[in-house]
Amino acid sequence: MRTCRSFCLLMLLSLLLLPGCWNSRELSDMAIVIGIGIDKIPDTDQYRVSLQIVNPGSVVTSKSGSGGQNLMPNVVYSSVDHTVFSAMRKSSQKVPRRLFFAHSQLLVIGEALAKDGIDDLFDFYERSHELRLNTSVVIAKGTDAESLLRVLIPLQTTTTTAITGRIKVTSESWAQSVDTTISDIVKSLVGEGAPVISGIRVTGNPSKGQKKENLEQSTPLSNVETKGIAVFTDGKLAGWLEGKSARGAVWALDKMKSTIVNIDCEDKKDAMAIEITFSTTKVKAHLINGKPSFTIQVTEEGNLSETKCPINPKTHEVIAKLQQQLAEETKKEIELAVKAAQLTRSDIFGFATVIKRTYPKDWKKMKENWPALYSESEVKVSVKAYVRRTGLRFKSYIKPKEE
Amino acid sequence: MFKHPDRFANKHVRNREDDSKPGRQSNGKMPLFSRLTENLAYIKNELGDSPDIIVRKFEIGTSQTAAGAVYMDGITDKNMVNQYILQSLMLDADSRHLDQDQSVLSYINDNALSVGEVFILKDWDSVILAVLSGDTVIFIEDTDEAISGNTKGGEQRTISEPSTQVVIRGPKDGFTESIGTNVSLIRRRIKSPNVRLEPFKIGTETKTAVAIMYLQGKVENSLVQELRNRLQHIRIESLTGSEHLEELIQDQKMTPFPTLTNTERPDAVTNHILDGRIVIFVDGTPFNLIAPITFFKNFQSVEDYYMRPEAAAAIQFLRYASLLISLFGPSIYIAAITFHQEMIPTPLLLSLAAQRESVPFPAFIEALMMEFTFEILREAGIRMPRAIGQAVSIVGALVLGQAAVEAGIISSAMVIVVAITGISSFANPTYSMALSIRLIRFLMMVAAALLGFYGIAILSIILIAHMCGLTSLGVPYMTHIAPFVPEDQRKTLYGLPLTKKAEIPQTFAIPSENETNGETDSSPPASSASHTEGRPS
Repeated sequence: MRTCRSFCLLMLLSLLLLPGCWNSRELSDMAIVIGIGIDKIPDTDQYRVSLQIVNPGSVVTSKSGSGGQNLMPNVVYSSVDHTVFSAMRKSSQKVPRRLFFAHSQLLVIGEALAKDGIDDLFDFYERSHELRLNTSVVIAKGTDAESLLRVLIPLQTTTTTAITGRIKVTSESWAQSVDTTISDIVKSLVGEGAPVISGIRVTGNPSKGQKKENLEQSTPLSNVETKGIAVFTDGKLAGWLEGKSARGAVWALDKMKSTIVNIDCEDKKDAMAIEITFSTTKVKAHLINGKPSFTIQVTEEGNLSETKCPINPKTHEVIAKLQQQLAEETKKEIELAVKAAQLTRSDIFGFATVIKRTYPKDWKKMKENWPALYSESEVKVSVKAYVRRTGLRFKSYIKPKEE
Repeated sequence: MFKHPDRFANKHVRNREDDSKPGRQSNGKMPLFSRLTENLAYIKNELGDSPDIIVRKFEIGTSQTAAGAVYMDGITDKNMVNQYILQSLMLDADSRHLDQDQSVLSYINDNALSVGEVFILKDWDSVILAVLSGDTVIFIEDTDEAISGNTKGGEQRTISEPSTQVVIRGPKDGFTESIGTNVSLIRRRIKSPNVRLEPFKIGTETKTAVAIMYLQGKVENSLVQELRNRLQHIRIESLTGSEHLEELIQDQKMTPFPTLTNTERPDAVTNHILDGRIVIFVDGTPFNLIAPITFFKNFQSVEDYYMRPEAAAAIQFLRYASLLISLFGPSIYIAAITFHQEMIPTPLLLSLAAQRESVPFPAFIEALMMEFTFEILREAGIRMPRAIGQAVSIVGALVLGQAAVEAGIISSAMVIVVAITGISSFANPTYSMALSIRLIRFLMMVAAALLGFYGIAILSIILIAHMCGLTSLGVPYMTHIAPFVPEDQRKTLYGLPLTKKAEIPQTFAIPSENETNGETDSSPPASSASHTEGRPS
């Protein structure tokens, strides 16, 4: 009995050995894909998928490492096929190692593909267990995804980390771009709204940017920078919001974390900088005579950070005036964004969802010609602005001119 | 020098003598001869005519009665033999008393022998045991009984600081190899009449003195009875140390975990006794056993009693963390790096990948090599003469660590993992527990290499199930967690010793199977009445 039991146990234990090292992968056999670019081949329904593979040896500078800095930080391989996944697999013809996608942090969509439509692009991302839904998405503005990924960027190890870094930092501190992930896009494609995706463009000479010499300049020959927010209608790129209208869109989307707003001061234009430290946005819908109208309510707080004119914000009146100016400026920017979005008939602010929630019955009637209703609907913007602090001092050292 | 008379041996002899009185001959015990020369010749012969057996023939006092003293050189105190046995019998004994009715034997016993412990022996077994234990046995002409006087002594190690369980703030004395010394160290600390000491003799050849000590009223009687039974049922030739005894009396044999703990610190033993545990002293080793213990007791040090409770709790937490690191360290690294790369943050993954670019082995082989090397280094470090110790650490640190990394055979991350694992295993206050963790770690690594985190999870579940099935003297090993006793966790898990110092853990009050947990709390049954009285507050 005892021998039988131990024999059975032994047999069961040896079952463990049968799968071998199931699904085990050695790090040195893997090509870590850090960024993916997808382009459209013109006049076909084929994708060109570009995989940016990081070269770990160049990333880590250890004294025992072989050469460290002399290696290219990343390599880009491209393949063309009808589906995204087959194009990715096709790359294995060119890549000496097993592709590993779990660490891809960025999806770049070429502008041509964006104009053609991105509705059907993300199914693979949702299905795959390796790809992540929190991957950031950007649109390659004015270029294709492949050439964007090929640019070598100083300071950051790979183009991908450079881009994701820019997106994160700028969307939080300058707020003229948005950090959109794949799950955000899928959500808005499934729901009533439309996605917004930041644009990234290549500056300088893109062909020189692919070479190592780009890393050896204090002013890079070629660089990438965030530029504008892409607006989609029916899954197709419909236009770009840039500058103040982009910031207005961020405000209306309730994604404002921090930015700097310049306001006028007596006779000087844009002479005072106010740093927004807190902002919250609410959208309310009303039906007047069957026509939808919306109110965007923004409550924001800011600090006076810089001034070029001699004000003394010690008194309540001065602060109140600052607040009023700030509110007006904010309102102006949001209205710009709303107008631009209405023009493209792209419901980036999710107004449809608000209507659906407030008037579920009426929504069914409106659903048919929503784009038209949306573009004609009246949007009111009301802003409550507070200036809380004035930095380390009240009165500026700048003296009034009369004295 | 500390010479503590070995009371255990003599008491035992006396017991046996009393037991055997009615049917001595039928018991097969050989009685003494009445003639002195026969007796002396027999004992010399029986002990192989060994040169360290000293046989001294003399005449008692001024009388003509011949007598012989037998003792063993080296384990007896020579001064005592000379002054209190030989001098008192040969010179001081007054022959006038011999004329009276009294027998020579009882005269010596009552009047002449100025030694504290004196026994009358009637059979050869007890005589030989007495001689081998360091007593002096006196044979008298025409008497078939002998007298033994306790003259135990000889060279012994003095009390010194414990070398394996060091504390910063606390008493510096440690147990020695002498059971008498060890018992006295505890007696000095607990001056309670409730301290009970019960002697045993284990080993047919070694006849090693073993004693259990506990605080009557604090410890459940059934526990003591259980331990007594186990000790009495041991049938072996020799008992050479407490490790051996631990193996013989533990509850489950097929387990890597120690279900009894050992300590060479008297203050630790004192705390254990006051907490209601039983201490098992074994002659010949400074390491004494404690039972029953729980898994968590292995992670407490006496030092905890000498620290502020807050600090003790924090350090307790640190020890559990180091347990987890020393158990799972390399296996988590293997699993993450070969199965679950998506779990590693990207910059870290890139850094690891860069290090592993040049490493020719799979991560598991690499880890195995480093762990193996480390174990060899550790073993070598323990067994080596102290003078060569530095050479080993240089070879270990420089050659194996740095050079292997620079040669690209081992990644530097692996060296870090192995190093932190090794250091963590030293943070465990119980060496025997650290030893089992070391073994299980290798199993974990195999599981991780085969199935990743899934394998680690499977093995952990098996381990936990196994640990929940263990008992120590009938008390569940995982007490306070399973069975769940939240009131006691305060002390056991979070290590807040001072606040509840004298309180007995609840679970120890309910060790027997026929009692249910609920009964003991509300209405204590008769069997645990004494225990309840002994509880403070």
